[in-house]
Amino acid sequence: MIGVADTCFIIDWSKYSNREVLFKLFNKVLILKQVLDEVRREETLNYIVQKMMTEQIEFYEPSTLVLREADEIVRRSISIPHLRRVDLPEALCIAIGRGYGYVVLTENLGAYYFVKHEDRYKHVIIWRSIDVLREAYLKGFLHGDPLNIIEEYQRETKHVFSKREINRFIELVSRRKHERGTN
Amino acid sequence: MKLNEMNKDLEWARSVRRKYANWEFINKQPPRIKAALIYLVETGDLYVASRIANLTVEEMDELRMKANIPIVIP
Repeated sequence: MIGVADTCFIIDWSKYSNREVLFKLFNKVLILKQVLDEVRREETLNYIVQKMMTEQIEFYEPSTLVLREADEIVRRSISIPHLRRVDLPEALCIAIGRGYGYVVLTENLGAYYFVKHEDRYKHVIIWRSIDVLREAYLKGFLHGDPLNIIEEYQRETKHVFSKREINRFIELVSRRKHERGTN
Repeated sequence: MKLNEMNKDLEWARSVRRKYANWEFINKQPPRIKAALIYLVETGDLYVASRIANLTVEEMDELRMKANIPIVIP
């Protein structure tokens, strides 16, 4: 599985103590030039560059075609009343997600709502950090009380997940445990 | 996703950011940074906030942490 990460996601994810689970879920994560340009802290840069050296993160410079599509996504998101805007880094990730079937890693609500709203992008898979945590837990890459895992991520990266999302996580984990127990 | 459902989610996310934000820290910042932080509280959009502050997204994210503004996932 290949992911394409936007700036906010990779910056915050790199602060998480269990950040390595991302590379158990994904064979590779693409980092776009426009995303790398936004990174300044030595720790984050070292982390990304180290992952590039082991080919877990790949640097990717979008083509003119992808840039054009991303620009259209930004303009389209601005033109739809009540929809949140999609910014260029996320728009690039969405365009790549549509073109190549890569999972888009973003916390951006504009991107999240945009793919739900637009038919052309409905098949694009968007994972937020809570989705990555859930998938990592279900695949056995994270262990222990799921609530502790969620609380740890929220504390370390200053995130707040809604009760609805937390309950969805817990319910899915319980259901899987039950299914495994009955099989 | 229905529009009213989305609006409810966005309003809840905004209320959480407003509640957690360190307003004393925000109000002490120079005008451009203060405006960017207030924009971030109101919209959750880190990218545009970083452009208002004339910072990179990561520098803006550092300020976000200092101002105790959470990333809210509805």
